[in-house]
Amino acid sequence: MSVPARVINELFTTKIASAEGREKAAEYGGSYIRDRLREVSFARKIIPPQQVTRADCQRSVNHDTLVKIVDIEPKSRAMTLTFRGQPTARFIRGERAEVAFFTISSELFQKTEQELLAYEMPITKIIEENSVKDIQEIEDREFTLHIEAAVQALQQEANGGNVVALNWSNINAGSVVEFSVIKGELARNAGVNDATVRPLQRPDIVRLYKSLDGNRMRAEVNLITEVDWDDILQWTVEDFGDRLQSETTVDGYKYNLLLGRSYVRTIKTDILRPGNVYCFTKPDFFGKFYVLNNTKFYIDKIANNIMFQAWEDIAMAVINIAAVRKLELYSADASTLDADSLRSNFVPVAEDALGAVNNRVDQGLKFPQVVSY
Amino acid sequence: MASTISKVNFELQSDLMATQRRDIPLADPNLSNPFNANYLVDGEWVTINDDYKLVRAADITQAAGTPAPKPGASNAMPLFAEKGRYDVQANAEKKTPCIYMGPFEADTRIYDDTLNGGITAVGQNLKVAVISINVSGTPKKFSGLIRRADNDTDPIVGVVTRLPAKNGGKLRFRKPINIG
Repeated sequence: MSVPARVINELFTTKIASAEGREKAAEYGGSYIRDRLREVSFARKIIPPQQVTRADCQRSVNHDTLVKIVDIEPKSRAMTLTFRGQPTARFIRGERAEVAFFTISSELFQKTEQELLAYEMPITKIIEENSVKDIQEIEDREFTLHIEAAVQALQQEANGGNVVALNWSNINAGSVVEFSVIKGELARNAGVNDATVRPLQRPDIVRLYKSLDGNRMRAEVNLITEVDWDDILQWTVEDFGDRLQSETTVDGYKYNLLLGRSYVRTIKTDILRPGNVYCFTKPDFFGKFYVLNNTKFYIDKIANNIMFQAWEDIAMAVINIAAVRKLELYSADASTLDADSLRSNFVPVAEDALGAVNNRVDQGLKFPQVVSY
Repeated sequence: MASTISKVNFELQSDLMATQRRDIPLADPNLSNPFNANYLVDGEWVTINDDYKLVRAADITQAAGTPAPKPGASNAMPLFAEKGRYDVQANAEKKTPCIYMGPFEADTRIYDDTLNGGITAVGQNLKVAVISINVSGTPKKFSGLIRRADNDTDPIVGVVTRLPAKNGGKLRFRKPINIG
């Protein structure tokens, strides 16, 4: 549908943040080509955010920023005693952790009123809607960096406090302990340290669960890319049994659980890179995600310049680093040591690289190529 | 008169909206930790390295008075974050705000008015160099402001508008343009 420029202008005069403006803009959705799928936050599915208010937070005496202090379960134990004995004493002390707030913002979008007339799609409305998902992408990127830091910290502890490369060479030499990070079976037998992502096999998933289940915790949810998920569709009749194999061939894998645990799939392969599979406990054992201010949208017009911006104020933290484990399906090292100089393939891309586009229209690449004169 | 470090060491005296702030990751994320030996304070002068990350403009392993090396010194800008801010520590890459572009006037405690001939008059030019300030009785080095003498070739990053002796110990300066 062609949208009269007059309508777009009208949207701005009525302020696009208003309900009326939104409804009008929605009528004209679908008249443009989308560049890529946009997905809501996977971090929010793993740690559901909790809304907090200023009253729940603590200030600093040194600066004007906020934290929320979270209590950690205190230690306790029981013991056997004789009829005459007495228990050992424990002076109770519970640990506390600070979860700090920060802001995630869209870009500050700017356009002159006159240039806006050149658009027949509700560009401002599209950007507004996409901004919410862009913000959630950054949430996911922060979350991924935090969980990666958590598994690497525990891995370092398990290796005597040293960062030891976890790659095919060291696994075969027996010189590294796999604790919070494990390699997939095919990566362990790769014969080379490389960035090739091997297919996900059923025993890999089981080993991942066992790495968490063996520590008085239980793996509850997996985080996996769509790319690695597709490997599950290749599992054989030995993995699935004939009934599931028949079903999967026709409908794909349609159950909510995989080997008894739930899963979160993501298409954001520039944030969660293929070959990385994480599993987590329930959020109660794991971390916190607080929202201080939900997404706010600001729009203003100074003379003929229109500007708008969206932002939110959140806090997220992995408080119990032992509540997350990682499976790597590639044979090279992904630790901070970067022993194989391939780490950039396994960690989230830079923040400013997330806005990359798929289409090549800017380079004139569309077919058939039509030239107007 | 030697400067002192306080909780707030850098205060804008001009309109914040006339500046452009940028949050840029620290090259050494550990410097956001207020207990790190080399913690950063507001008003320290930083620059961006080849990886687009923040580093101190002047190398604090050098002696006091050592100017910020070129070409990074031309791009020096003040940190706009107090020591140990939660929002800096909260983000994974320790992105830290600095005043990236735009003219401003500010009061700073991150200066040494005794080096390089001393800051003695309004209108004198300023440059970035290693300075030493006593913190709890112990000398600590920062990347701060000193006088830029007329025959210096180091970039000018500001101009004195009020002397510390007449401004409660704080140096007021104006940064009219981004590149000195």
